[in-house]
Amino acid sequence: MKPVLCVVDTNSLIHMRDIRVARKELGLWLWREFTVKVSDKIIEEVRNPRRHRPSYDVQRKCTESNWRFQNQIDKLEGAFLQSFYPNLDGDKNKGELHNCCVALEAILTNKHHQVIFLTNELNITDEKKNGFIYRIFDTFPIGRIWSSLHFILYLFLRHRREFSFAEAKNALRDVNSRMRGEAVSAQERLITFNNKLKQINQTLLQLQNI
Amino acid sequence: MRDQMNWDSLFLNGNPFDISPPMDSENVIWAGMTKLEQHFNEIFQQAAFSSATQVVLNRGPYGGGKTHASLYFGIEDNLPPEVTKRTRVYSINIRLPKEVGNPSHDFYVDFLENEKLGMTRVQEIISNVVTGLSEAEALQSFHKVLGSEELARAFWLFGTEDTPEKQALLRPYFLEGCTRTDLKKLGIARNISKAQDRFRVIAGVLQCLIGLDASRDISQHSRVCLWIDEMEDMIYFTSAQFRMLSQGLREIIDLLPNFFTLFLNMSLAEPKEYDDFETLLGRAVIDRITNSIYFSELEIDESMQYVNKLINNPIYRDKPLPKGLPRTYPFEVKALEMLVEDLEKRTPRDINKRCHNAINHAFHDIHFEAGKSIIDQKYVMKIEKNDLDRETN
Repeated sequence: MKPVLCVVDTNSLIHMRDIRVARKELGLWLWREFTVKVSDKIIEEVRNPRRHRPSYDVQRKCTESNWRFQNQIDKLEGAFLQSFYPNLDGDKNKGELHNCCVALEAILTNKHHQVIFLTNELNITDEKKNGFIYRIFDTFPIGRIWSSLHFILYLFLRHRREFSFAEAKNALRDVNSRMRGEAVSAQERLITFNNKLKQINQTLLQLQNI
Repeated sequence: MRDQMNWDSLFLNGNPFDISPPMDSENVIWAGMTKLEQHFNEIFQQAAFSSATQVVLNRGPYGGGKTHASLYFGIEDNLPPEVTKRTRVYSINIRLPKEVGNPSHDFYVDFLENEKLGMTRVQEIISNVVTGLSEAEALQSFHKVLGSEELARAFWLFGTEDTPEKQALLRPYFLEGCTRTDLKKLGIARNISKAQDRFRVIAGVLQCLIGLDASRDISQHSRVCLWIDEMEDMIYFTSAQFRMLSQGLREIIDLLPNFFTLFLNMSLAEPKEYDDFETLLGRAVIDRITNSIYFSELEIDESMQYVNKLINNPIYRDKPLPKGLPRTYPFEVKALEMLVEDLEKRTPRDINKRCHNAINHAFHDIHFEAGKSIIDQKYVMKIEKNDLDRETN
């Protein structure tokens, strides 16, 4: 079986910083659960001195998870991304754009069957805002877009014996508070994910023997 | 552009369509929105006839009028006369801190430094309340509400100490903390260091405004209203900050079981389930809510009434209109209806924005010639929707 590939964006790692769940750093759980790969740009971004950045361990893990492109990045950008993101000059959204290339190449080269594209950039993944990441994954069925909130739910589902409901609720609030956006949208987002967490918890309570 | 807006030519003294809440709260007026006004009046009437503490959740969309209500009802003269005849009402308005570093500390400092308080006023309030009490009586009363002998002593000193040197030490003691040497000079064992202490100090100051009398006699107390605006920003707090603030608010509510009204203004997209409110405010607070007011969007007739009342308030229009002009002037009635009808969100802020933009457009077009021109349906149809809904200051 080809493992699921998780392609991680810088902001999702920054939003998970300093949060521990089930006795481990939340960001590091990614490497325990998935094969993680990132583009060069992400390695550059996570090391970038700024007010908040991922822990040293996460930075190191990112460096070790660098995706080696088999195709020239310019060629991938031109053929794959140009129609979704016409202006490829400059550095804007470069991390996400190159991660999209990682995702596509991973499927095309038969290294992975599906991809989880982890990013907390709300505008570019929003269907209503016609975000370019949304449109890419809507057109190319190569995987799913997750935010760090989805990842917390997944971890809760997988590690329910070590990861308590209260701890998961706190982690959702912590990450959501960092994702910002308009207050009302942030409220709706937290309510949505809290309700999902409750539903998962109720289901798990009925399936304790599994 | 602003200079070209000659409000006189519209028989107005100025722009009635503010987008942001006025800086000068004394001039805040209430226009239309009769159901909301009635709801608030009922809450104040309950407060005038019962000692019980109230916790009121004011919820609704952005621009729905929550901040405006806090400014308007924060003025004692705007309360129903049957309320102010029975009891003195003090109002304090604060906003939830924007900075996410240490919100409970910021909330505390914002409260003490509030425009209606400030340390000089706090000292005066404490000093007034201890007048006529012995040290032992005052310390006992303070201890009861503050839950700490040291805080009670600090309150007593702040209200009674007349040496300037010690008074000069007490202000930093309350705001930022003192050195060990200064604490020794004051005879207080420790600083206000815990979040719980800060909320107790807030409760203590509010209790001093209410009065220290142990009875529940309304005539012996004032009603204190604390309005906290922009509660929706709690969503930006981490779980630790969120817990600290919601537990702090619960602490204040529980320490003030009588003569206290807490208004929590919170923007919400639409009414939610009980569980959702718990997610947004925390169980500690949600369990204590006694009343809830929903600032719904206005119906068309309510919007018309709102604009009509607003522009004809004596602050904006103090002379009768020339014969033949509608009370909605500079808008023709049907044109105003058109303006408010297809608004995406019919909130006071969005109605104000549209009306202001339509007038602005008309001034720009040199459409007005005093008393001879009007914004009619034909003119409204000429204005692009983007121009009508443009953000203005």
